[in-house]
Amino acid sequence: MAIKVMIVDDSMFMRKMLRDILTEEGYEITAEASDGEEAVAKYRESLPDLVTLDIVMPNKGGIEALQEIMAYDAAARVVMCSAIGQEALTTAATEAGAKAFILKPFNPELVTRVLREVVQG
Amino acid sequence: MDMSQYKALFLSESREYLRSIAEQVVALEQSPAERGAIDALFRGAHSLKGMAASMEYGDVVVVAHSMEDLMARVRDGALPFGAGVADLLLEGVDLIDALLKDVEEERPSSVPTDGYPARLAAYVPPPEKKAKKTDEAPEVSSPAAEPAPAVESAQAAESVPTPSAETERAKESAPELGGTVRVKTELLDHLINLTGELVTNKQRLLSIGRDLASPALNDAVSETSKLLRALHDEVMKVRLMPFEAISDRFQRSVRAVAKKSGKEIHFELTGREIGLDRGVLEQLVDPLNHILRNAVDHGIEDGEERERAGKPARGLVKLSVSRDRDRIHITVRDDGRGMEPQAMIDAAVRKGLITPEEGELLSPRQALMLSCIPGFSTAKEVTDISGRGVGMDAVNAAIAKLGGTLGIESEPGQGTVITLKLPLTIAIIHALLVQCGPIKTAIPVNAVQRTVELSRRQIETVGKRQMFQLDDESIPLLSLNRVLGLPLGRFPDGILPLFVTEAKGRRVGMVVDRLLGQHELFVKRLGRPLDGVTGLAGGATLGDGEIVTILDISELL
Repeated sequence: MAIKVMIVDDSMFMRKMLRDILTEEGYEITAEASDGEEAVAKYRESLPDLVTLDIVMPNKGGIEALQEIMAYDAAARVVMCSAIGQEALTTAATEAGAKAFILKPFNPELVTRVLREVVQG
Repeated sequence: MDMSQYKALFLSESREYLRSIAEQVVALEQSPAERGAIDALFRGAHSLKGMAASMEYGDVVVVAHSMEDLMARVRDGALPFGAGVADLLLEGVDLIDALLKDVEEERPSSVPTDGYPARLAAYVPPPEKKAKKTDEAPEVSSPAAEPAPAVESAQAAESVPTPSAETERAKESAPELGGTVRVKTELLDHLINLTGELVTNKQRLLSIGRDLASPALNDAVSETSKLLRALHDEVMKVRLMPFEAISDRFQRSVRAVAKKSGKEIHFELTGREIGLDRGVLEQLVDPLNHILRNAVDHGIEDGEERERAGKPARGLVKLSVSRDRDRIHITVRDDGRGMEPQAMIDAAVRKGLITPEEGELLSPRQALMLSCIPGFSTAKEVTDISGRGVGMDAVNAAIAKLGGTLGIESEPGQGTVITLKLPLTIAIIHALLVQCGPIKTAIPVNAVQRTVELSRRQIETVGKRQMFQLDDESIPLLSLNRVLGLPLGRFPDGILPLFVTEAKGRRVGMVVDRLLGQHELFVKRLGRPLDGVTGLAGGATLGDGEIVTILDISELL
């Protein structure tokens, strides 16, 4: 069974890129969201195995969304994604329960390796 | 990973971000403490940077990164949002915009970006204004000006809304969620073409139906006709783009002119969501820019003069877009000094554009339209602000070319309202078909104010001119045959058919041999070499296969 992933990013360009990378690797993209609020709502609906979560987004940022997702499902596997400049937030993200941190721009090999590690625990 | 497949998406989304950044900047100048807009600006620059980094467009990354850092300082309270910050951000928007054009055309980047990051990093606000965070917008305060009342700035915030997260989300997620697709614009143009051909063919079926006198056929054709109308409307809707696709430029140019002329302007925009045909929209940018620049530069008085006249020091320029069935109305309203009809007449006489006698015959409405006559605004009056060599005559011509009309109303001391009325579409038009000598030709109905059948007795001769009275205005008569170089018509029964149109701001009666009624035409470009002929706006095929030309009357006269 394919692993179900939800992609959260406010940029359609970024979502499309990530979707292509992950689909290629055999993941199934079951949901996408473009802001934190939508991410939390869609997490409850689709209960994905894995979430990639952007940090800088409108309408509730990634860290806040992460906290709400973790509060709803302590077993959630969330990987934070962000461009240079937000490294300061990695600690906050890890404390809030993020499993890993990926730096944009996405490097396909790196993305798949990190996600594999997260899935395998 | 092959990134070229993402280029189109990158470009279109980056431009959306740029547009939103420019809008937020202008909005923030009106209310600099708006938290949401500050965050949105930061996010916009940040997202741009991330996308450009993925595409490996280093120059864009560098510029976006500097903007992001600058906004981070604003966000964290280290830097007040003022005119200096706004200028730098808008400069960044322009830089990235130029870089994107290079990317789009696959040429090496032609814009030097060096120096920009350093200037942003080193930027400190001008010291004398440090304390007055909210008064930093450039328009604000000549010393006499009172601080803007709170209500007004609240309106300002409202009138330049930051795109809410709601609409942002709708824009972005729609492709996945609503089952929509992105379509190339050429495909849409092709659809319009086919629909147009169908309309022409329907006319043909109609005339066959009349010849055969077959009720069954006529029924079928009239049903087809209804369906075609619906199809046409739907296809047209697909081509519509919201006005906001071009509106951010206007905010920016009003801002720039206000700054340059040292005036305090409150700019309001309503109807940004109204949809217009892509073709119309593109052609509207220059004319509207010109009208707005005029309003700020010539219309609005400076602060002291306004206060002497008992007006608020801050001038108001309002751009509103609305839809009235199949017409779009765009108005530019200012509360400036207005225009004096008599002064317009005097100026036109002085410049030798009209004779004093002609001047006396003009109604106030006609007098205001004198500003649209070529040569009325001379080089001497062209400032470097509203100049660029385009006068109101060019604006009027551009609007006429779109099948629209331009009207001016003004109350001296109270301000001026310029109203543009435009068709929703420029592909299929209603036109008045007329016969002149051996040829049939068509005039778009928006250029026709009305048709008249005039008895010879109603014609008066004033000097060398033949005139007639309509609605208390004296209107000169011209022969369309003569304008087209055709033999003049004869009117044995003493009735002259004519249509009334407007040329150079004045109403004119155009006499033709026969009025053949109104038709729905699918306008086609004539192509070379005919599209260079003055006065020809295009061609169309009638239902019986006959080809008619479509005239651009204002260009002919």
